Amino acid sequence: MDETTETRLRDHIAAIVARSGLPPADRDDVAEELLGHLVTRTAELVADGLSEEDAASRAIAEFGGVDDLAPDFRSAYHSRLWASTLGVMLPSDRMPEGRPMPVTALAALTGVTAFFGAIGTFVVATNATPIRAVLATPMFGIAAILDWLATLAILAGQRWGFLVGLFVTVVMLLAGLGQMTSGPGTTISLSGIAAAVTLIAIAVNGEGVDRWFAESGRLPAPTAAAVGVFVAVSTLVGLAPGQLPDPTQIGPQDITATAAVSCRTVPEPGLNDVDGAAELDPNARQLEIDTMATVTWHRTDWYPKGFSVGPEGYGDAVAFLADVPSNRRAAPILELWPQDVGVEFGSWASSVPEEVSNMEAAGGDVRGIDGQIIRAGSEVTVRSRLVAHIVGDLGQNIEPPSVEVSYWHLDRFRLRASVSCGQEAQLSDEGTSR
Amino acid sequence: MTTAERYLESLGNRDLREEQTLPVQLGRGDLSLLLLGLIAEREMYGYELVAGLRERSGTVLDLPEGTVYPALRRLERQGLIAGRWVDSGDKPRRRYYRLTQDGEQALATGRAAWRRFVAATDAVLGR
Repeated sequence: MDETTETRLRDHIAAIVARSGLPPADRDDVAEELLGHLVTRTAELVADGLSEEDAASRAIAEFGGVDDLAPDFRSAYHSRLWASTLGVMLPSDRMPEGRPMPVTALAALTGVTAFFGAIGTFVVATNATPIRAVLATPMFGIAAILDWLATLAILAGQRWGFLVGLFVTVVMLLAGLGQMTSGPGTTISLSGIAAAVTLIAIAVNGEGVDRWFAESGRLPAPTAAAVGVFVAVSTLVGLAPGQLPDPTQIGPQDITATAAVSCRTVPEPGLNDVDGAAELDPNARQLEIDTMATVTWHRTDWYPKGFSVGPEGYGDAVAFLADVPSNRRAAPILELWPQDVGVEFGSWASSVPEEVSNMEAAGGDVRGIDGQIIRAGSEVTVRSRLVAHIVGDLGQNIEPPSVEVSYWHLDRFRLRASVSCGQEAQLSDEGTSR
Repeated sequence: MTTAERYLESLGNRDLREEQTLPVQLGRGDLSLLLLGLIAEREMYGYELVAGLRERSGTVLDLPEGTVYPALRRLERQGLIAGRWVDSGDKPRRRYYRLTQDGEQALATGRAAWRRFVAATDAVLGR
């Protein structure tokens, strides 16, 4: 067969193979088989008396072209809808022999990640603030789908699934380490431990995993690059929504809060516990620190805790913590406690940071403001009385105390001011916006 | 579209008085079954299978020869046949296919289904 005819046949086959969506490792195989057919048929027709050129033309015509064969090849290799759509879930053309346990563990871990990713998607969709939900939900959802596809790809002997699974596991390990090392106390991260065990198993079973990896199916370079870029971008973008400002939510500038403190000392002769021994102290006095905080909302949040939580499900808090200078000398103040005055506005503990509870534990007074009360244009006055017993001569020279007044809007930001007795101040943003 | 529907469609598009034989467009399932039937006889390569189809069906089965190859790859990926390359001297290498155990079972099931179809068609058209 002359070179021109052979080139013609090869070009015909190359055109078919190029449009058939074949896995790279199968392309040469299929091309050789198809070319063998054309060469044999052409030779047969030449033997029947046709010129080589005519024989090649007829062989090509009988064989069929791109439109006849390419769709059949594509459907043969992309037998599932999702596979043909994504073009990445093809079972490996040569399945690696045997799957090492660490690879199976990696697939399982990636699958579990996908499961929790799906749950996370639901939680974000229903609990995040509107703009953040809109941004984060697709990212969480896509990441969960990608993890699930990667799980299937690992089981199908595909390398890209392994690499995505590895990436997910490393991220899981880092997140687990971050969780275990941040904050007070010891936190055990089960996901972090599972990730560490899996990665160690992969490292220990190096040879087996290496063999599986070498035999695993590869995506065409452009598709692999696209998957890699997508994973990187979706990871970065997935982290972003929590940091983005949400214009549907109010900021410190949307709230005006003022506080006024008045103090008075009243005689309170009676039994006091001085130096651990109960005795009658005729000079004992009681310091009453009254604080009145007024909060005005110029605007309110639109679904501050997501669409699944109504206004009754959250609240703000105003905290009052007296700073009695002599208290630092530990002697004159025997007790400091809030005395109930005014209105208790409801639950606050689940909506505001833990440090608010700490302030209450330190002798402060915390008043909750139920979310149902918070309306644009409304004003609420919160009163608090902190009472201290003052005993002995030290109390004679007590400096005027001050009260640290803090207003927390959920766990997002805090307005505060330190107000001395007889003064009034406006609470200001400390840059605590979250 | 089933084979019967395709056949009836081909009837509808042709003048029966002018046609002695009617080419039938094979569907994927039909072609796969025919290939399984041929490979069941002995190990064969693609060109042989095309020749076998042409030889045994005359001009009735109408398909571009190349379409046999995607069908073979599909059957191989389904585990119904297994292929292996065999050198043939100065000629191009040949990829021979043999039936697997699953392929034998699929062929038996396919044959039974085809015969039920033919029997039902005969019952309607009369012999």
